[in-house]
Amino acid sequence: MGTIHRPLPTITPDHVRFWEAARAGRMELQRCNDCGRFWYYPGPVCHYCSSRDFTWTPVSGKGTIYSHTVLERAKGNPFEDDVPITIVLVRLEEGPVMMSNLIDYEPGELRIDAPVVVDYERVDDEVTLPVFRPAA
Amino acid sequence: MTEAVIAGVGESKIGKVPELTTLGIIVDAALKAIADAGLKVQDIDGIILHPAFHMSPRYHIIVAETLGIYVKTLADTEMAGGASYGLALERAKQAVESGLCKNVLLVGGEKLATGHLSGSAMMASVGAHNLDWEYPYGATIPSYYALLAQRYFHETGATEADLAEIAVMTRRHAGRNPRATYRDPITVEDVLASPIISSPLHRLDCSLVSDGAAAYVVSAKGASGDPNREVEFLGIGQAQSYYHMGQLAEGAGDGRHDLVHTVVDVAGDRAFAQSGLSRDDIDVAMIYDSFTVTVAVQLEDLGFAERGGAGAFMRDHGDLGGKLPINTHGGLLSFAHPGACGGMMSFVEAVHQVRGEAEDRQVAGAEVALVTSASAVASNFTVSILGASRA
Repeated sequence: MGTIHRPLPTITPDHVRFWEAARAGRMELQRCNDCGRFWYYPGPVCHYCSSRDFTWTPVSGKGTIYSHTVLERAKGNPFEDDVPITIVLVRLEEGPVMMSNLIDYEPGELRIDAPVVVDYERVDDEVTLPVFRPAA
Repeated sequence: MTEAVIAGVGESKIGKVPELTTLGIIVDAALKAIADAGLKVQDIDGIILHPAFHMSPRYHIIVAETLGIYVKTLADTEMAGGASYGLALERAKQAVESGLCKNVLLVGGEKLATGHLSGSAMMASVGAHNLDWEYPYGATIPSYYALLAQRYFHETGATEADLAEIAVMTRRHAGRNPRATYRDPITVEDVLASPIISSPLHRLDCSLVSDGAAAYVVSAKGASGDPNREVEFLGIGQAQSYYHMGQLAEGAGDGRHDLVHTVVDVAGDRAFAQSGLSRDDIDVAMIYDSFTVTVAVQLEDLGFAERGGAGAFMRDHGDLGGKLPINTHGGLLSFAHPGACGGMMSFVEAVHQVRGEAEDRQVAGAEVALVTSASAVASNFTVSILGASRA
């Protein structure tokens, strides 16, 4: 898969730690010190119990495919020449579900419940995006 | 207590309208709705509009200035995409029933076919979906619904051919509507042979991209030019969940809702409870059809079709003369989809049906219509049950 002309996220103090970790090849999420859960996407309070007391914690980077699509036509979007683009929803081992891309896969590996593992695509000096590939 | 009614409806020319501006088509629809209600522009004292793509966020004021509506006791926006005008209808009803306004104009219009922007590039200008955590992965509006469809197949056993039945029946209805954009019949095979936009959704699973505007006027019962043509609110409800697909999939933790089990049941239960009616009392339904799968999950979550059975339900019961004719104007799939105000056209059709003014599309004896509106990833809904005048 070639590089996608990606619209870039705006990095804010709420989640700069997420992007710093991704640049270093790690996935870190906030874990609530009150209810113990991880949440995604990063934000100022726990998604589940609104606690402000949390710790940025490395996660396994493992998960399973919750749903998937191959985008074939994207007229008018910045990535319109980059199709097909494989978009997946991944349920992380730690619980939350995130959107990402699946890369380097065989057709049979794009299926719901298939195991996947995180990888990283460097977009520029600031942004490295977590993407996924089939688990070995 | 004052009881609110839909006093009038109107639509501009739809499809491709290069000769008029966005403001031009909006004003055209507004004037038709006001005339349909037997009112004058000066009778309007409330306005609600969805200032969509490439509009000023205060576009409702510009429209009021253009029409010459000086004093408004309600002037606001409703920004929830395709659900906007279902939501606005509830606000307008409350405004009339509380005495805040006498006649509220709801109006919207867009030029998606011959305007400045096209396709899903519009998304970035609006931010309906998550620009930080989803859009960087190449997500377009069809791909969100494709993720829904894929999961829907997984959980229910339904197939692409089942969804295709929804497009096929909608086109059959459009064939009876001279104003519909596409009227030629299509088959399940045609849908499956149309290009994939975002798997498993084909082009014919997706709504159109159109120009057009629509409007309705909500007034106090008995105040319009012809009370026999007023349409009554029998029940109305809304329910909204999340836009971010991951969080939407997780649900609220009660096991009741997730990506495939939408919150439209909450809106529906509220509307049915208010009306005192049952599913069997609905004569005709307008089910918001941004994509075929949008119709499928709603028909099932509202309890009209069994799990995974929406396609078969549409094929077997959705035609004129069937148990529940659905989207008799041709819907967003075949009639027109001028963005957020496309949802208004479902209400306009429902009004035509319960008034008995739907011409070749008329459901015989239709007195009760159910109309849904939806936005984001099938995550925000309204359900309205409208009835013929009992004046």
